Amino acid sequence: MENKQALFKEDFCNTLRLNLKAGQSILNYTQRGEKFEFSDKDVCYLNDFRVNKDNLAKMNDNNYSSLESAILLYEALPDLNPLLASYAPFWLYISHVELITYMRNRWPNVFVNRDGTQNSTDSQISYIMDYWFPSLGSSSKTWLPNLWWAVYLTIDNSREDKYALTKILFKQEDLRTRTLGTYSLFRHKPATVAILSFIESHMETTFNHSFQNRCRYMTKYLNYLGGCRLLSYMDEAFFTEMLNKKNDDISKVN
Amino acid sequence: MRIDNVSLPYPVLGISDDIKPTLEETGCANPDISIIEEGNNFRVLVVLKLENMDIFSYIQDDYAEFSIEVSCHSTMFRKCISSPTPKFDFTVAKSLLNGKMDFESFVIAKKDIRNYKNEGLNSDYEGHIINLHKGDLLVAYRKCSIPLNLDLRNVRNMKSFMTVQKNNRAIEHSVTYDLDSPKILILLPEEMMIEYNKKPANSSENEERKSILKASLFVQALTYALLNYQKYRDKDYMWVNALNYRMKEPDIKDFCVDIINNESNILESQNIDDLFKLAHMMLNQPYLGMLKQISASENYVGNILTEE
Repeated sequence: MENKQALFKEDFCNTLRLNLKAGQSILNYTQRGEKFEFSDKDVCYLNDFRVNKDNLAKMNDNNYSSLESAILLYEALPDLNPLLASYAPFWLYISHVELITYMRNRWPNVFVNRDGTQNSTDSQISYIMDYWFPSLGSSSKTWLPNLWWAVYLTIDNSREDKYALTKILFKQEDLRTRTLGTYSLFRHKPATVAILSFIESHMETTFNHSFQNRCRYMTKYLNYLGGCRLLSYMDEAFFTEMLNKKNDDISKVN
Repeated sequence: MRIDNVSLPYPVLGISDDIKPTLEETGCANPDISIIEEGNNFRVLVVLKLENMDIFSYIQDDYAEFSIEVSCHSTMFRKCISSPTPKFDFTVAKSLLNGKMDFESFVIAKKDIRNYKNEGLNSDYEGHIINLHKGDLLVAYRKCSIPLNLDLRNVRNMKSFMTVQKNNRAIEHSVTYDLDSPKILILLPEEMMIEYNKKPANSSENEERKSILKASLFVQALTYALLNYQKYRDKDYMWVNALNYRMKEPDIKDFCVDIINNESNILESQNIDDLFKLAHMMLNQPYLGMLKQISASENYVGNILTEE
């Protein structure tokens, strides 16, 4: 465990972003690219900040699922708090230096899409921006911060397996990146615990079929409930009761 | 929850004219919020006002209570705090917040309320039986946001929200601006950056240069940012927070009402004229400062465009 973490200064973060927007550094974001060049004056340090570099090295091996990578990342940064986790320069250093191999392998379709079509320069830039560059105020949408926030918001130290709910969230990409994980309701811990616990306890019944669509139906229903009452006022028991009442309807979704 | 421009299926004091007199009419719409830094925490003091006696009765009878939802979009922080009195005093760790703190204040039903009554109900509700459920709103105050990372003593200083950097695009030969950044970025091509970085010979040259740059580069950058303000107004950028704060200050507040209240992304030509004026007001009349500096200069030779 090291006791110091580097991060880019804001000016250099601007330079990275502007170079990419100008189309000058696209190749660096691919497996064929060189390392990003920077000097000591582009970097500052967080002292007394523990980092498990072994975990980051394991992520670079790229033999791990998104869930495993998320837990490795979360455990690599035991001193990371929400304030720092929402600070783009912190993630830009990690993604562009320490996890560059992981990031290049995880998001390889810069030039060619999954379906084999060539991306335009604009599409290449926006593909890289989406996965590598946390936008201010919504860092959770970018890949690495998203992995960290997903664990932070679902970890439950009172359980024997503190990652039990995290595992449910990662069961299906759609739940984490398009529905529950993007709703403001996800930030209300009693709701998140109730929803993921409900999925967990009905995994062999309600959610043994059409998982994605049933989760979508369920999260939309809860969002709808929030249309006319303050959901952050409600406790876990309320969400559990509402979901139990709705279980038959959820089961009918295909 | 989103309560802007919506009607809920039950009457809420603070939404349209569901209940009269409205919060605006009684001067109660805006929560009084102050934030004090205390070591590793922010101490938050909130006072809500309420003059509707029927709703007060529901609170006294333990059917309803005052509630504030405090959230911070950047850090995923969201917490609801409730109280039987309209005064709140609580702390939030600084490590849980970044950018700004958003406040939504309400009076909430603590339990189901059968046959809700209020003397000020809009006549549209006449003859209807209104049942409220736990979590429903009785009052919705105006939302507000408080910037946290802003040095309020320094908000008039250009450095707090603008910065100059070299543009690495070789093909770019003119000044460009970038607003997707904590501060407004003024990007200069290399040859301009070299000139910009040259040290002035003495303090009077320094003052002259500052006033010229303020009246040229910086006033243009600020005008550009104001022209694009509507697109960025809800972003958690330092420059947006600085402008949002500055536009509410007494010297320019009245001038900014239309800009702040304009929901549209497209500016009317009237607004564009105002934005030029606003940029000059925010930078404390930079043309005047520049002309004073130039005319005081030893090398000043007089008017160049006007007839003798």
